[in-house]
Amino acid sequence: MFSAIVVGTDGSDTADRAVSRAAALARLSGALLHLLSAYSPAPVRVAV
Amino acid sequence: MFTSIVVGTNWSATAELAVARAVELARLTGARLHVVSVDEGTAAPVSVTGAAAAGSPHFQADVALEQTLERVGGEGVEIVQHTPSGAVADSIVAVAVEEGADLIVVGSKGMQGARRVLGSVPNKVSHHAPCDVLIVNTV
Repeated sequence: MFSAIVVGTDGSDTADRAVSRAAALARLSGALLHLLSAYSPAPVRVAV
Repeated sequence: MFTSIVVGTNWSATAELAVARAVELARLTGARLHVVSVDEGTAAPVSVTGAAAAGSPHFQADVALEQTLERVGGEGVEIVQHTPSGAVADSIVAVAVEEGADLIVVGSKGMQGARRVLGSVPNKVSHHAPCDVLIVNTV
């Protein structure tokens, strides 16, 4: 049914619920599960 | 994983993609499938052909469901039909609440025509659903 599933997580408990559901769906359909955590890089400080 | 799945359809070709996905998920998980077609008081559904097109909304829905299940292969899935009247998204959510559904399946196109953004039905359902929502890519 699905061959590739992407799940986004920030590591929080609520995101865990989405990851858990995504894992169950991946298992059920034999899909490859992609876990994704996006982040914003910290601002770069340049010493002069 | 799921025990009770609700799918919304207006019997259009795009909605049928959502029904097909819902049938698949119901079969894989052993869930009961609630097929909801809301009577908006508009013209006959496009995919209903022959004598059914002239029948009552309930009769039309019976025939449309039968035709749809023949096309998507509904064997072995326990199916319950719902034909409420009212606003589409509200009615789908109401059935999900009444039936204790753990998943709602809808198409991304919504049920009121093509849109560049997410259709109004999936948008509203996603905001008010009491459970998981699967938005099938039907645009």
